[in-house]
Amino acid sequence: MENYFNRIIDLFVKSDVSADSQVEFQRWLTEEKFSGEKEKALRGLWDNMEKSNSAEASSQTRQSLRKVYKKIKQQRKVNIKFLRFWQVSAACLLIALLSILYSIHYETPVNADLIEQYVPIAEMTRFTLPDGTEVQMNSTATLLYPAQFNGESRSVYLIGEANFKVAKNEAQPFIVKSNDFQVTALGTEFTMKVYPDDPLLTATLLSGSVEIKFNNMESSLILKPSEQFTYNKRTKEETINHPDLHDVTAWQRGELVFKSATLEEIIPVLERKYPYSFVYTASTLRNDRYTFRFKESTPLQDIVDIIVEVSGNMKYRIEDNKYYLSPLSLNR
Amino acid sequence: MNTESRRKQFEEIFIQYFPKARTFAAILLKSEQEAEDIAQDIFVKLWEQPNLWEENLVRNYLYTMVKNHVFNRIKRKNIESNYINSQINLSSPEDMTEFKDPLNEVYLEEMQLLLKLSLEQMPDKRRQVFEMSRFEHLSNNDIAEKMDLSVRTVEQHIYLALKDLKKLFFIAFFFIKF
Repeated sequence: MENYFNRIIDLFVKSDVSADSQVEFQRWLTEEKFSGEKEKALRGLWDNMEKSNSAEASSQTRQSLRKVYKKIKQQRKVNIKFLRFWQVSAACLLIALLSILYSIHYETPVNADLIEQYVPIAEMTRFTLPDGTEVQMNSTATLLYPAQFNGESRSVYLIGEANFKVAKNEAQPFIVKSNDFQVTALGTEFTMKVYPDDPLLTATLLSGSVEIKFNNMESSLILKPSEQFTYNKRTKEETINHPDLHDVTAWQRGELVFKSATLEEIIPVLERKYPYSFVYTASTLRNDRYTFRFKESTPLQDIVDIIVEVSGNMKYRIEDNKYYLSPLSLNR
Repeated sequence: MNTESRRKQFEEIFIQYFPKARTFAAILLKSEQEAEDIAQDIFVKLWEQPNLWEENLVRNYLYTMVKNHVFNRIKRKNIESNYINSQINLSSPEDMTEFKDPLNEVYLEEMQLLLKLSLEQMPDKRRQVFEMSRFEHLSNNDIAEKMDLSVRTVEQHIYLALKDLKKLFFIAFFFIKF
Protein backbone atom coordinates (compact mmCIF):
# COMPACT_ATOMS: atom_id res chain seq x y z
CA MET A 1 0.00 0.00 0.00
CA GLU A 2 1.53 3.21 -1.12
CA ASN A 3 0.34 6.76 -1.28
CA TYR A 4 1.82 10.23 -1.25
CA PHE A 5 2.45 10.05 2.47
CA ASN A 6 4.17 6.66 2.45
CA ARG A 7 6.04 7.64 -0.66
CA ILE A 8 7.43 10.87 0.77
CA ILE A 9 8.48 9.26 4.03
CA ASP A 10 9.97 6.33 2.18
CA LEU A 11 11.97 8.57 -0.12
CA PHE A 12 13.21 10.71 2.75
CA VAL A 13 14.22 7.74 4.87
CA LYS A 14 16.06 5.92 2.10
CA SER A 15 18.08 8.70 0.58
CA ASP A 16 20.54 11.44 1.38
CA VAL A 17 18.71 14.71 1.11
CA SER A 18 19.88 18.30 1.04
CA ALA A 19 19.72 20.34 4.25
CA ASP A 20 17.01 22.41 2.63
CA SER A 21 14.80 19.42 1.85
CA GLN A 22 15.38 18.07 5.32
CA VAL A 23 13.96 21.21 6.92
CA GLU A 24 11.09 21.14 4.48
CA PHE A 25 10.31 17.48 5.09
CA GLN A 26 10.40 17.86 8.85
CA ARG A 27 8.16 20.89 8.78
CA TRP A 28 5.71 19.03 6.55
CA LEU A 29 5.80 15.96 8.81
CA THR A 30 4.89 17.91 11.94
CA GLU A 31 2.19 20.04 10.32
CA GLU A 32 -1.35 19.47 11.46
CA LYS A 33 -2.75 19.09 7.95
CA PHE A 34 -3.41 15.39 7.10
CA SER A 35 -1.89 14.41 10.46
CA GLY A 36 -3.95 11.22 10.44
CA GLU A 37 -2.48 10.05 7.13
CA LYS A 38 1.02 10.98 8.22
CA GLU A 39 0.53 9.15 11.50
CA LYS A 40 -0.54 6.03 9.61
CA ALA A 41 2.50 6.16 7.36
CA LEU A 42 4.87 6.72 10.30
CA ARG A 43 3.29 3.92 12.26
CA GLY A 44 3.76 1.66 9.25
CA LEU A 45 7.43 2.59 9.12
CA TRP A 46 7.81 1.77 12.83
CA ASP A 47 5.97 -1.55 12.54
CA ASN A 48 8.07 -2.61 9.59
CA MET A 49 11.30 -1.98 11.42
CA GLU A 50 12.69 -5.15 12.93
CA LYS A 51 13.35 -5.22 16.60
CA SER A 52 16.65 -6.77 17.51
CA ASN A 53 16.23 -10.54 17.77
CA SER A 54 19.61 -11.49 19.10
CA ALA A 55 19.87 -11.73 22.85
CA GLU A 56 23.36 -10.28 22.57
CA ALA A 57 23.67 -6.51 22.62
CA SER A 58 26.10 -4.75 20.33
CA SER A 59 28.85 -2.76 22.02
CA GLN A 60 27.04 0.41 21.00
CA THR A 61 23.85 -0.73 22.73
CA ARG A 62 25.85 -1.75 25.82
CA GLN A 63 27.35 1.72 25.94
CA SER A 64 23.90 3.31 25.66
CA LEU A 65 22.63 1.08 28.45
CA ARG A 66 25.44 2.25 30.73
CA LYS A 67 24.54 5.87 30.00
CA VAL A 68 20.86 5.22 30.67
CA TYR A 69 21.71 3.69 34.06
CA LYS A 70 23.86 6.71 34.84
CA LYS A 71 20.98 9.05 34.00
CA ILE A 72 18.58 6.99 36.14
CA LYS A 73 20.95 7.38 39.08
CA GLN A 74 21.30 11.13 38.53
CA GLN A 75 17.58 11.54 38.25
CA ARG A 76 17.11 9.82 41.57
CA LYS A 77 19.42 12.31 43.26
CA VAL A 78 17.43 15.21 41.84
CA ASN A 79 14.19 13.61 42.94
CA ILE A 80 15.39 13.13 46.48
CA LYS A 81 16.56 16.72 46.72
CA PHE A 82 13.59 18.52 45.27
CA LEU A 83 10.66 16.23 45.61
CA ARG A 84 10.55 15.60 49.31
CA PHE A 85 6.99 16.89 49.34
CA TRP A 86 5.88 14.37 46.72
CA GLN A 87 7.52 11.59 48.66
CA VAL A 88 5.52 12.47 51.69
CA SER A 89 2.29 12.63 49.74
CA ALA A 90 3.13 9.41 47.90
CA ALA A 91 3.71 7.71 51.24
CA CYS A 92 0.33 8.92 52.48
CA LEU A 93 -1.23 7.70 49.27
CA LEU A 94 0.37 4.29 49.62
CA ILE A 95 -1.08 3.88 53.09
CA ALA A 96 -4.49 4.91 51.82
CA LEU A 97 -4.11 2.60 48.83
CA LEU A 98 -3.23 -0.36 51.02
CA SER A 99 -6.14 0.26 53.34
CA ILE A 100 -8.56 0.57 50.45
CA LEU A 101 -7.09 -2.46 48.71
CA TYR A 102 -7.70 -4.27 51.92
CA SER A 103 -11.29 -3.08 52.04
CA ILE A 104 -11.90 -4.02 48.40
CA HIS A 105 -10.53 -7.50 49.09
CA TYR A 106 -12.51 -7.70 52.24
CA GLU A 107 -15.75 -6.94 50.48
CA THR A 108 -15.20 -9.10 47.43
CA PRO A 109 -14.77 -12.86 47.44
CA VAL A 110 -11.24 -14.11 47.91
CA ASN A 111 -10.69 -15.41 44.40
CA ALA A 112 -11.30 -12.03 42.71
CA ASP A 113 -7.94 -10.86 41.40
CA LEU A 114 -7.38 -7.16 41.05
CA ILE A 115 -6.50 -5.77 37.66
CA GLU A 116 -4.57 -2.58 37.26
CA GLN A 117 -5.20 -0.27 34.32
CA TYR A 118 -2.57 2.44 33.92
CA VAL A 119 -2.49 5.27 31.37
CA PRO A 120 0.99 6.64 30.56
CA ILE A 121 1.77 10.34 30.23
CA ALA A 122 0.38 11.94 27.09
CA GLU A 123 -2.16 9.20 26.42
CA MET A 124 -5.79 8.39 27.10
CA THR A 125 -7.61 5.12 27.19
CA ARG A 126 -11.15 3.83 26.99
CA PHE A 127 -12.26 0.37 28.03
CA THR A 128 -15.14 -1.60 29.50
CA LEU A 129 -15.22 -3.09 32.98
CA PRO A 130 -16.46 -6.69 33.49
CA ASP A 131 -19.94 -5.38 34.44
CA GLY A 132 -20.30 -3.39 31.22
CA THR A 133 -19.43 -0.01 32.75
CA GLU A 134 -17.55 2.14 30.24
CA VAL A 135 -14.50 3.93 31.56
CA GLN A 136 -12.45 6.63 29.89
CA MET A 137 -9.21 7.49 31.67
CA ASN A 138 -7.01 10.57 31.35
CA SER A 139 -3.17 10.58 31.28
CA THR A 140 -1.32 9.11 34.26
CA ALA A 141 -4.53 7.78 35.82
CA THR A 142 -4.59 4.35 37.46
CA LEU A 143 -7.66 2.22 38.07
CA LEU A 144 -7.74 -0.96 40.13
CA TYR A 145 -10.69 -3.29 39.71
CA PRO A 146 -11.52 -6.94 40.33
CA ALA A 147 -11.65 -9.39 37.43
CA GLN A 148 -15.22 -10.17 38.48
CA PHE A 149 -17.69 -8.08 40.41
CA ASN A 150 -19.42 -10.61 42.61
CA GLY A 151 -19.60 -8.97 46.01
CA GLU A 152 -22.38 -6.84 47.38
CA SER A 153 -21.06 -3.82 45.54
CA ARG A 154 -18.92 -3.10 42.50
CA SER A 155 -15.87 -1.36 44.03
CA VAL A 156 -12.96 0.10 42.07
CA TYR A 157 -10.08 2.29 43.17
CA LEU A 158 -9.04 5.38 41.21
CA ILE A 159 -6.00 7.63 41.19
CA GLY A 160 -6.27 10.40 38.63
CA GLU A 161 -9.11 11.44 36.34
CA ALA A 162 -11.71 9.21 34.73
CA ASN A 163 -15.23 9.24 33.38
CA PHE A 164 -17.61 6.39 34.22
CA LYS A 165 -20.74 5.41 32.31
CA VAL A 166 -22.07 3.00 34.87
CA ALA A 167 -23.97 -0.08 33.70
CA LYS A 168 -27.29 -0.21 35.49
CA ASN A 169 -27.54 -2.76 38.29
CA GLU A 170 -29.50 -1.57 41.28
CA ALA A 171 -28.78 -4.65 43.33
CA GLN A 172 -25.04 -3.98 43.16
CA PRO A 173 -24.09 -0.31 43.58
CA PHE A 174 -20.99 0.92 41.72
CA ILE A 175 -18.44 2.54 44.05
CA VAL A 176 -15.33 4.49 43.04
CA LYS A 177 -12.99 4.86 45.97
CA SER A 178 -10.04 7.08 46.44
CA ASN A 179 -8.11 8.42 49.38
CA ASP A 180 -10.86 9.46 51.88
CA PHE A 181 -13.34 10.13 49.09
CA GLN A 182 -15.84 7.82 47.51
CA VAL A 183 -18.66 8.02 45.01
CA THR A 184 -21.49 5.50 44.95
CA ALA A 185 -23.64 5.24 41.82
CA LEU A 186 -26.44 3.16 40.43
CA GLY A 187 -26.94 3.66 36.65
CA THR A 188 -25.33 6.96 35.88
CA GLU A 189 -22.53 8.87 34.20
CA PHE A 190 -20.00 10.88 36.15
CA THR A 191 -16.44 12.18 36.01
CA MET A 192 -14.08 12.05 38.92
CA LYS A 193 -10.67 13.66 39.44
CA VAL A 194 -8.40 12.60 42.29
CA TYR A 195 -4.73 13.25 41.54
CA PRO A 196 -2.36 12.80 44.49
CA ASP A 197 -0.53 16.06 43.70
CA ASP A 198 -3.74 18.09 43.49
CA PRO A 199 -5.40 19.17 46.76
CA LEU A 200 -8.78 19.42 45.01
CA LEU A 201 -10.91 16.31 44.62
CA THR A 202 -13.82 16.72 42.23
CA ALA A 203 -16.75 14.66 41.08
CA THR A 204 -19.13 15.88 38.40
CA LEU A 205 -22.43 14.20 37.74
CA LEU A 206 -23.56 14.17 34.11
CA SER A 207 -26.75 12.14 34.55
CA GLY A 208 -28.45 9.97 37.17
CA SER A 209 -27.60 10.37 40.81
CA VAL A 210 -24.62 9.62 43.04
CA GLU A 211 -23.81 9.69 46.70
CA ILE A 212 -20.48 11.15 47.76
CA LYS A 213 -18.69 10.37 51.00
CA PHE A 214 -15.73 12.47 52.04
CA ASN A 215 -13.81 13.80 55.03
CA ASN A 216 -12.73 10.32 56.18
CA MET A 217 -16.15 9.03 55.17
CA GLU A 218 -17.75 11.09 57.93
CA SER A 219 -19.68 13.47 55.66
CA SER A 220 -21.88 12.59 52.75
CA LEU A 221 -24.24 14.24 50.27
CA ILE A 222 -26.25 13.42 47.16
CA LEU A 223 -25.37 15.12 43.88
CA LYS A 224 -27.95 16.18 41.28
CA PRO A 225 -27.25 16.07 37.54
CA SER A 226 -24.82 18.73 36.22
CA GLU A 227 -23.61 19.55 39.73
CA GLN A 228 -19.91 19.47 40.49
CA PHE A 229 -18.66 18.71 43.97
CA THR A 230 -15.20 19.91 44.97
CA TYR A 231 -13.43 19.05 48.18
CA ASN A 232 -10.14 20.61 49.26
CA LYS A 233 -7.98 18.08 51.09
CA ARG A 234 -5.89 20.78 52.76
CA THR A 235 -8.50 23.28 53.90
CA LYS A 236 -11.35 20.72 54.20
CA GLU A 237 -13.57 23.12 52.29
CA GLU A 238 -16.40 21.70 50.20
CA THR A 239 -18.26 23.47 47.39
CA ILE A 240 -20.91 22.67 44.82
CA ASN A 241 -20.88 24.44 41.44
CA HIS A 242 -22.69 24.18 38.17
CA PRO A 243 -19.85 24.13 35.65
CA ASP A 244 -20.14 24.08 31.89
CA LEU A 245 -20.35 20.30 31.28
CA HIS A 246 -18.68 20.76 27.92
CA ASP A 247 -15.59 22.01 29.80
CA VAL A 248 -15.67 19.20 32.34
CA THR A 249 -15.60 16.58 29.61
CA ALA A 250 -13.12 18.49 27.43
CA TRP A 251 -10.27 16.13 28.31
CA GLN A 252 -12.23 13.19 26.88
CA ARG A 253 -12.07 14.89 23.50
CA GLY A 254 -8.36 15.66 23.93
CA GLU A 255 -9.02 19.35 24.54
CA LEU A 256 -7.50 21.38 27.32
CA VAL A 257 -9.66 23.92 29.11
CA PHE A 258 -8.56 26.20 31.94
CA LYS A 259 -11.04 28.53 33.60
CA SER A 260 -9.48 31.35 35.63
CA ALA A 261 -6.67 29.05 36.71
CA THR A 262 -3.27 30.03 38.09
CA LEU A 263 -0.11 28.76 36.43
CA GLU A 264 0.47 26.67 39.51
CA GLU A 265 -2.74 24.84 38.67
CA ILE A 266 -2.12 24.73 34.92
CA ILE A 267 1.41 23.29 34.95
CA PRO A 268 0.61 19.93 36.65
CA VAL A 269 -2.11 19.38 34.04
CA LEU A 270 0.35 20.01 31.21
CA GLU A 271 2.90 17.72 32.86
CA ARG A 272 0.40 14.90 32.83
CA LYS A 273 -0.70 15.44 29.28
CA TYR A 274 2.76 15.85 27.72
CA PRO A 275 6.02 14.00 28.35
CA TYR A 276 7.73 17.16 29.59
CA SER A 277 8.31 18.65 32.99
CA PHE A 278 8.57 22.26 34.07
CA VAL A 279 11.31 23.81 36.17
CA TYR A 280 10.73 27.20 37.76
CA THR A 281 11.13 29.11 40.99
CA ALA A 282 8.08 30.06 43.02
CA SER A 283 8.67 33.76 42.35
CA THR A 284 8.46 33.25 38.56
CA LEU A 285 4.79 32.33 38.68
CA ARG A 286 2.52 35.11 39.79
CA ASN A 287 -0.95 34.55 41.06
CA ASP A 288 -2.61 35.87 37.92
CA ARG A 289 -5.57 33.82 36.71
CA TYR A 290 -5.93 32.72 33.11
CA THR A 291 -8.63 31.26 30.96
CA PHE A 292 -7.43 29.16 28.03
CA ARG A 293 -9.02 26.73 25.64
CA PHE A 294 -6.73 24.57 23.49
CA LYS A 295 -8.06 22.31 20.80
CA GLU A 296 -7.25 18.65 20.47
CA SER A 297 -3.55 17.74 20.09
CA THR A 298 -2.16 21.25 20.31
CA PRO A 299 1.63 20.88 20.54
CA LEU A 300 2.97 21.71 24.01
CA GLN A 301 5.32 24.30 22.60
CA ASP A 302 2.41 26.22 21.10
CA ILE A 303 0.67 26.19 24.47
CA VAL A 304 3.75 27.44 26.30
CA ASP A 305 4.30 30.08 23.62
CA ILE A 306 0.81 31.40 24.24
CA ILE A 307 1.05 31.28 28.03
CA VAL A 308 4.38 33.11 27.99
CA GLU A 309 3.03 35.66 25.55
CA VAL A 310 -0.11 36.30 27.59
CA SER A 311 1.69 36.46 30.94
CA GLY A 312 4.15 38.99 29.51
CA ASN A 313 6.59 38.48 32.35
CA MET A 314 8.24 35.18 31.55
CA LYS A 315 10.51 33.53 29.06
CA TYR A 316 11.36 29.87 28.60
CA ARG A 317 13.94 27.53 27.18
CA ILE A 318 13.72 23.80 26.53
CA GLU A 319 16.42 21.36 27.54
CA ASP A 320 16.18 17.58 27.79
CA ASN A 321 12.38 17.35 28.04
CA LYS A 322 12.23 20.19 30.51
CA TYR A 323 10.79 23.64 30.11
CA TYR A 324 12.75 26.14 32.16
CA LEU A 325 10.59 29.13 33.04
CA SER A 326 12.30 32.29 34.22
CA PRO A 327 11.22 35.89 34.80
CA LEU A 328 11.72 38.27 31.91
CA SER A 329 14.39 40.79 32.87
CA LEU A 330 13.00 44.27 32.33
CA ASN A 331 16.26 46.01 31.49
CA ARG A 332 17.14 44.27 28.27
CA MET B 1 10.14 -7.00 42.10
CA ASN B 2 13.70 -7.15 43.43
CA THR B 3 16.39 -4.98 41.90
CA GLU B 4 18.16 -7.78 40.12
CA SER B 5 15.16 -9.27 38.35
CA ARG B 6 13.98 -5.75 37.49
CA ARG B 7 17.34 -5.02 35.90
CA LYS B 8 17.32 -8.28 34.01
CA GLN B 9 13.86 -7.66 32.63
CA PHE B 10 14.68 -4.07 31.73
CA GLU B 11 17.82 -5.13 29.90
CA GLU B 12 15.95 -7.68 27.83
CA ILE B 13 13.62 -4.96 26.61
CA PHE B 14 16.50 -2.56 26.18
CA ILE B 15 18.46 -4.93 23.95
CA GLN B 16 15.39 -5.64 21.81
CA TYR B 17 14.00 -2.17 21.45
CA PHE B 18 16.70 0.41 22.06
CA PRO B 19 18.30 0.02 18.59
CA LYS B 20 14.86 0.23 16.98
CA ALA B 21 13.91 3.37 18.88
CA ARG B 22 17.25 5.00 18.11
CA THR B 23 17.13 4.11 14.42
CA PHE B 24 13.56 5.37 14.05
CA ALA B 25 14.52 8.73 15.56
CA ALA B 26 17.73 8.86 13.51
CA ILE B 27 16.08 8.36 10.13
CA LEU B 28 13.56 11.11 10.81
CA LEU B 29 16.00 13.58 12.35
CA LYS B 30 18.99 12.57 10.20
CA SER B 31 21.13 12.98 13.28
CA GLU B 32 22.66 10.04 15.17
CA GLN B 33 23.53 12.15 18.21
CA GLU B 34 20.07 13.62 18.70
CA ALA B 35 18.50 10.20 18.16
CA GLU B 36 20.76 8.65 20.78
CA ASP B 37 19.79 11.39 23.29
CA ILE B 38 16.10 10.90 22.65
CA ALA B 39 16.26 7.12 22.91
CA GLN B 40 18.22 7.34 26.18
CA ASP B 41 15.75 9.77 27.73
CA ILE B 42 12.83 7.57 26.79
CA PHE B 43 14.38 4.50 28.35
CA VAL B 44 15.19 6.43 31.52
CA LYS B 45 11.47 7.11 31.78
CA LEU B 46 10.61 3.51 30.91
CA TRP B 47 12.73 2.28 33.82
CA GLU B 48 10.36 4.08 36.17
CA GLN B 49 7.29 2.34 34.73
CA PRO B 50 7.71 -1.43 34.98
CA ASN B 51 3.97 -1.84 34.43
CA LEU B 52 4.60 -0.95 30.76
CA TRP B 53 7.22 -3.61 30.15
CA GLU B 54 4.79 -6.03 28.62
CA GLU B 55 5.53 -6.77 24.93
CA ASN B 56 2.47 -5.14 23.34
CA LEU B 57 2.35 -2.15 25.64
CA VAL B 58 6.00 -1.37 25.30
CA ARG B 59 5.87 -1.39 21.51
CA ASN B 60 3.05 1.14 21.39
CA TYR B 61 4.47 3.20 24.22
CA LEU B 62 7.90 3.47 22.61
CA TYR B 63 6.45 4.42 19.24
CA THR B 64 4.39 7.23 20.78
CA MET B 65 7.26 8.47 22.90
CA VAL B 66 9.83 8.47 20.09
CA LYS B 67 7.39 10.18 17.76
CA ASN B 68 6.53 12.87 20.31
CA HIS B 69 10.16 13.54 21.13
CA VAL B 70 11.12 13.72 17.47
CA PHE B 71 8.23 16.08 16.68
CA ASN B 72 9.08 18.31 19.60
CA ARG B 73 12.74 18.51 18.52
CA ILE B 74 11.70 19.42 15.01
CA LYS B 75 9.31 22.12 16.17
CA ARG B 76 11.90 23.57 18.49
CA LYS B 77 14.47 23.65 15.69
CA ASN B 78 12.03 25.36 13.37
CA ILE B 79 11.46 28.10 15.93
CA GLU B 80 15.14 28.46 16.78
CA SER B 81 16.19 28.89 13.18
CA ASN B 82 13.35 31.37 12.69
CA TYR B 83 12.35 29.34 9.74
CA ILE B 84 9.90 31.33 7.71
CA ASN B 85 7.11 29.48 6.10
CA SER B 86 8.43 29.99 2.59
CA GLN B 87 6.73 28.13 -0.18
CA ILE B 88 9.33 26.88 -2.57
CA ASN B 89 7.77 28.26 -5.61
CA LEU B 90 7.92 25.32 -7.88
CA SER B 91 5.57 25.39 -10.76
CA SER B 92 2.72 23.04 -10.14
CA PRO B 93 3.61 19.37 -10.46
CA GLU B 94 0.90 19.02 -13.03
CA ASP B 95 2.60 21.45 -15.42
CA MET B 96 5.86 19.70 -14.90
CA THR B 97 4.92 16.13 -15.30
CA GLU B 98 1.91 16.56 -17.56
CA PHE B 99 0.22 14.23 -15.15
CA LYS B 100 -3.31 15.30 -14.35
CA ASP B 101 -4.72 14.39 -10.99
CA PRO B 102 -8.02 15.75 -9.78
CA LEU B 103 -6.57 15.68 -6.28
CA ASN B 104 -3.63 17.88 -7.25
CA GLU B 105 -4.95 20.81 -5.34
CA VAL B 106 -5.75 18.85 -2.25
CA TYR B 107 -2.33 17.27 -2.09
CA LEU B 108 -0.36 20.14 -3.61
CA GLU B 109 2.05 20.36 -0.72
CA GLU B 110 2.63 16.61 -0.73
CA MET B 111 3.25 16.60 -4.47
CA GLN B 112 5.68 19.48 -4.28
CA LEU B 113 7.65 17.83 -1.54
CA LEU B 114 7.66 14.52 -3.36
CA LEU B 115 8.89 16.31 -6.46
CA LYS B 116 11.66 18.04 -4.57
CA LEU B 117 12.87 14.84 -2.94
CA SER B 118 12.71 12.93 -6.23
CA LEU B 119 14.69 15.55 -8.09
CA GLU B 120 17.46 15.20 -5.56
CA GLN B 121 17.68 11.49 -6.38
CA MET B 122 18.34 12.08 -10.08
CA PRO B 123 21.83 12.11 -11.56
CA ASP B 124 23.26 15.65 -11.36
CA LYS B 125 23.25 16.36 -15.10
CA ARG B 126 19.71 15.20 -15.60
CA ARG B 127 18.47 17.25 -12.67
CA GLN B 128 20.27 20.39 -13.86
CA VAL B 129 18.90 20.06 -17.36
CA PHE B 130 15.39 19.44 -16.08
CA GLU B 131 15.49 22.38 -13.67
CA MET B 132 16.75 24.73 -16.37
CA SER B 133 14.00 23.61 -18.65
CA ARG B 134 11.11 23.72 -16.15
CA PHE B 135 12.08 26.31 -13.55
CA GLU B 136 14.13 28.75 -15.60
CA HIS B 137 12.13 28.07 -18.77
CA LEU B 138 15.19 27.92 -20.99
CA SER B 139 14.87 26.40 -24.45
CA ASN B 140 16.53 23.10 -25.19
CA ASN B 141 19.00 24.91 -27.46
CA ASP B 142 20.02 27.31 -24.69
CA ILE B 143 20.46 24.47 -22.25
CA ALA B 144 22.56 22.51 -24.71
CA GLU B 145 24.84 25.48 -25.16
CA LYS B 146 25.14 26.24 -21.45
CA MET B 147 25.81 22.66 -20.45
CA ASP B 148 27.99 21.94 -23.46
CA LEU B 149 25.75 19.06 -24.56
CA SER B 150 24.04 18.20 -27.80
CA VAL B 151 20.38 19.17 -28.15
CA ARG B 152 19.55 15.50 -28.53
CA THR B 153 21.18 14.68 -25.19
CA VAL B 154 19.23 17.51 -23.55
CA GLU B 155 16.00 16.13 -24.95
CA GLN B 156 16.93 12.68 -23.75
CA HIS B 157 17.62 13.97 -20.21
CA ILE B 158 14.27 15.74 -20.05
CA TYR B 159 12.48 12.69 -21.36
CA LEU B 160 14.06 10.43 -18.75
CA ALA B 161 13.41 12.90 -15.93
CA LEU B 162 9.76 13.17 -16.92
CA LYS B 163 9.46 9.44 -17.13
CA ASP B 164 10.82 9.03 -13.60
CA LEU B 165 8.52 11.68 -12.19
CA LYS B 166 5.44 10.41 -13.97
CA LYS B 167 6.05 6.95 -12.70
CA LEU B 168 6.46 8.28 -9.19
CA PHE B 169 3.33 10.39 -9.26
CA PHE B 170 1.30 7.77 -10.96
CA ILE B 171 2.12 5.17 -8.35
CA ALA B 172 1.44 7.56 -5.50
CA PHE B 173 -1.75 8.76 -7.13
CA PHE B 174 -3.02 5.36 -8.00
CA PHE B 175 -2.75 4.02 -4.51
CA ILE B 176 -4.03 6.95 -2.58
CA LYS B 177 -7.52 6.29 -3.83
CA PHE B 178 -7.70 2.64 -2.90
